[in-house]
Amino acid sequence: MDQSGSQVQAGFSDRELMERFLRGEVEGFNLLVQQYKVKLFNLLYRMLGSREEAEDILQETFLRVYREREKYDFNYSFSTWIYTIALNLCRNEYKRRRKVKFFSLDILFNHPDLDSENFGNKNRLSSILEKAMNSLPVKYKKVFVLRDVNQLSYEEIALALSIPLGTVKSRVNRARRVLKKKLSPMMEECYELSKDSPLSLSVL
Amino acid sequence: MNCRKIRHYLSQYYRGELTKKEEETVSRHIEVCAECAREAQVYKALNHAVQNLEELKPSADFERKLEGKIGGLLYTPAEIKNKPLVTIFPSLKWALIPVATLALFLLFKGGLHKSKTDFTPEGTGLARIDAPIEESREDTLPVEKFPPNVNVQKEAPVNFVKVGGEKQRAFFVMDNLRHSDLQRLPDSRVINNRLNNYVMNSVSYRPVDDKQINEAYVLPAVATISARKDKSY
Repeated sequence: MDQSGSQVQAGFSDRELMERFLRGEVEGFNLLVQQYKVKLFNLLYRMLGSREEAEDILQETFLRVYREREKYDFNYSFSTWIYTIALNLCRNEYKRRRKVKFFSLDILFNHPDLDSENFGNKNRLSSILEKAMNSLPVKYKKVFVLRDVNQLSYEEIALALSIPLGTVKSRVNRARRVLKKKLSPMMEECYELSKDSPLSLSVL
Repeated sequence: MNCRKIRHYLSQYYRGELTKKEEETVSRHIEVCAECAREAQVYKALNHAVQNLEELKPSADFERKLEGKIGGLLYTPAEIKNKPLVTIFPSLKWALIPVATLALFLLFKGGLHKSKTDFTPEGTGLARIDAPIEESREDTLPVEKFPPNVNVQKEAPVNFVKVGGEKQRAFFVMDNLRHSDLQRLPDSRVINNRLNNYVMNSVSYRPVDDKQINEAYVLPAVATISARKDKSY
């Protein structure tokens, strides 16, 4: 399992920060919050489609890290632990909602908050990608965002979601294929352009 | 390898998830197969778009809200606001009665200290920090344990320090205080990492008007917590 964790600006690994936090240094906790708040916020926002809810769940996630700090197992990476907490809370939120239609684009249009303009996307492709990602069934969206957006390893995702490694891989693969298919028409245009000038792809 | 197998690998190709051998196979194939090359370009663009998605940020007061839920543990010194004592230590209300008695006793025994402002916190359970109380002398921390920007008042009846010349703020320093202890002080402010291993609680600053800004009062009740400190000093 990944032991090092990610490095924060102060040059401490997650593990070191957690150790400091457990020693009673609240600065360790503060730095972990700084390290994870944006990544987790974006994950939760993409999963829940609402800023407010994402922020509430994020608050709850850090609150649990704070309260349950003694339960942290140093045999696993901190990121796995905090993602597990956030995703469990997210799952509870799904249960609470019940009626969300994951297979339908309705969610997009019923959630003005989820408008891709919220992301301030600089280009059309990103905007379409946001929408396409949101139209994925939740189990595919989850692994895709964790792997390709949040850059977790397959092993970390398997641990965080308590599903087999092979399942994670196949779901990520499937999600990529679906997204590729959805985005193909637009990308094909770009490809046509890129045949003349390979650099044109970089404008995407 | 046929196109079908290659396409299975394509989604991992641009993410660097293939083995060296698989990667070479794909590279060689897309050089000669236009259809797969086209597909590969789409994956490349998808990968590029995913890596360049915009990030949203939580609201600006995210930490403040979190800190409110946790109990005031995320303040930095610059953010410390003056608060009345009872709100700083609501859980210590019970201690006010014996402490007030003791404080008044000590104040009268040692003679009331005459100050320029003559502000006496009667009935509040507060003792003057500059009250001459020899009995508590052993509670003062060795000055050399603090970094240079911290001015430790040796005469203070309990561990009282001032940081960086900011006289508006009084800090009570406890060594080896665990967070479990701090949870007993839900509204206490902890400034950590500023003083090596010390956990600092800002305490007992009594809001006064500008003229009395240099006057700070230490709640003797807090001294009872100092009993938890390591006996190494």
